Amino acid sequence: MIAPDARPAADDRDDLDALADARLDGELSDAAWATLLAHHGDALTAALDRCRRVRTALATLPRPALPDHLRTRLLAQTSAPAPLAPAAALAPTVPVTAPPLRPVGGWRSWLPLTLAAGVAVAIALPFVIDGRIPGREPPSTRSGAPVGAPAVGDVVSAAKEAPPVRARSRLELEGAIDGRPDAVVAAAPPAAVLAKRTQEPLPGGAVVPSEPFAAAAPPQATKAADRPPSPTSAPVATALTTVPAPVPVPPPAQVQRPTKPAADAASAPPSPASPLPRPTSPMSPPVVQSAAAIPEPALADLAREAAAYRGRAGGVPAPAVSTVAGPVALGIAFASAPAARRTALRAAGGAAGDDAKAAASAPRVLAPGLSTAPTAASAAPLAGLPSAPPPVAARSAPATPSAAPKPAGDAAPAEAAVPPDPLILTVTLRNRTVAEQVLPPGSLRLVGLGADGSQRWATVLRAADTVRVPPGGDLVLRETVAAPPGDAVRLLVSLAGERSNVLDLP
Amino acid sequence: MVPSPHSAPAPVVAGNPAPAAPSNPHGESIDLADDAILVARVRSGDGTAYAVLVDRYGHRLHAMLLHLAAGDAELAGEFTQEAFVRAFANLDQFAGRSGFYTWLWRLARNRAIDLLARKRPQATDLSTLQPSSNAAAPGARLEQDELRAGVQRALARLPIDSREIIVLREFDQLDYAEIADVLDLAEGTVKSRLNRARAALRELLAAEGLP
Repeated sequence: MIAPDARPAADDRDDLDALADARLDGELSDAAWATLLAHHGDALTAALDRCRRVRTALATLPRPALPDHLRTRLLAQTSAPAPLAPAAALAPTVPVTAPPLRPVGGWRSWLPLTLAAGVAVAIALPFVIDGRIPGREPPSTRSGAPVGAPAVGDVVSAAKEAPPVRARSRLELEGAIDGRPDAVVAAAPPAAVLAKRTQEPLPGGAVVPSEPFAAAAPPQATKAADRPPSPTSAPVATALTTVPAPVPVPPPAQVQRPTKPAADAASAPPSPASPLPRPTSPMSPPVVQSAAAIPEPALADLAREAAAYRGRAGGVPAPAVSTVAGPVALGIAFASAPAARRTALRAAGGAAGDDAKAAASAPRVLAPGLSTAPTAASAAPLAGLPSAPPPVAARSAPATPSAAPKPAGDAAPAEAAVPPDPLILTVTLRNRTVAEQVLPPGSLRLVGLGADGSQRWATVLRAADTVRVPPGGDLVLRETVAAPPGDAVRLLVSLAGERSNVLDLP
Repeated sequence: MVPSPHSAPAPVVAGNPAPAAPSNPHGESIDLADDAILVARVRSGDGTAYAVLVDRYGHRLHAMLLHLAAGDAELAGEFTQEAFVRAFANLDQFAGRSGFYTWLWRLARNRAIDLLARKRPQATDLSTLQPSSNAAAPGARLEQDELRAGVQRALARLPIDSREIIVLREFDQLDYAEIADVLDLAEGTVKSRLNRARAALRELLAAEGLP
């Protein structure tokens, strides 16, 4: 209770307002208020009116309705049906405000994140670049010997010596025939580990014995570079290298007749030079498949190809094309073929000519990721063949080096037949995987297609080379081959069921 | 004891000014008279009961927070939303000893006072908002509008604690006991603080030439 004359000397206005508020709050009785009115007069009445107006103004301040969007948000945040347990029901509905991303722990928090991101990028980048999905590759086939351990029919002597390749360097590579350097992009093994070729002569046309091209291909001379003959070295059947030379006799188990039809390979020891598919995994190192573990599809492929060879332009279907992107992408294109070179080729009686002679005198230089080594065929003397086998023509006895192979079915002597102009092709191989791809000798094939798309002709490229394509690298091979028969109007490169683009012959 | 939503529904209080009693997905009528029952239903997963609580107290809380935030509608919306969310999340902590709105306001003010003490609210012209009551004559109405605008400006310039207690008392019409409950103060402390807040408001109004 406030006495009417409790604070007569105070500030009039403030005191009167305070008395008025007390009156409005019901703290002053009617008697006390009457006494104050009698003491202060109209000033107290004005103060009471002033306070009442202010209170009215405060009480009538705007009361905006709850905005609809806010109501919607309120109901939406808690509209999820709550379970029976209140705590469990309410916990998920609480909006968790993420703390600002800041380096609370300094390097302790950022370093692991950075490392994890780097590892993730490093893992995913090759696949992004290659456009491949891991797991689409056939599983890596490990048969016989482990990786790096040579098995029967494997050509790993040079490869085993080869150190890891270095990517994106260029190194001159001698062509298999003409000695011209192949453009190699992506890997460069040191010169000390470059594969060495055998000095033994390589009979030509053995793999494509019945094709006109093989018959027309004159024997070539390719000297090995700088390695002494290996005890297991042997002539290698190739349509392009045919310099006779004495070779030691290998163990009988490794003997492989190059002219043996592929269909017979099912019952015979498989040749490592055969174009067998080499399943590889992008995440695992390639495995050089031993001869003892040739899968059935590969044998069937061999049989089909052998039938095609025997049929000789019989309109057999073209090589099967894998719809799944393989580990190596193939490409083929024309390169220039100088007329002078054609003359030299003819004069030398083969596709190599004096270029090959020049190449023979120089050390064999291989491209990074491309190593050549004596194949099993070269390591195994051919049974029944002379030590210096000449190129084998189609369905013909081994020809002499001086006699050009005649086209199959052509009764004219080889000397009378004018070899068609050789083709200089550029074959590109791109490794789509993150592992080095090893292409065994003989796996790379040049196929001629007829107008109807059927296979009319085929030959083996790099019959004596183990081609190694580094991870993610591109390998460009410059190949000089004799022109295919006339009924072949298109060319492509085939590798283990995959094939390159189709190149129309002029 | 918290009633189960499947138990016998509480009787609907006749004459309740609240909106008509809605029904939950189970077809049961919801008792709007007792906040404790509504809270219990919300605990049991009845979303409709929660909607009733929002409709019952959302407008009031938002208006209070709007004036507490010196007319910053955005802040008021955030405070309102956060208060309801926190209330929903901590509904099991509601003991029922005080009213749900008192508890809700306490949740709201704890956050609002903490933020408003550091952040100056963005001025908002509340003159565009319609007053809650305007039954005076046209001449008196103009005078009231001017006074109301001056009061709003003066209120926005008050310290946050003075602003709060005046809003609670004059705008929300809470009595001393309720204010003491909300602010967790003694009633005598509430009176003294309220007197100081009023005096400060009067000074501000006098500075503007208002009564």
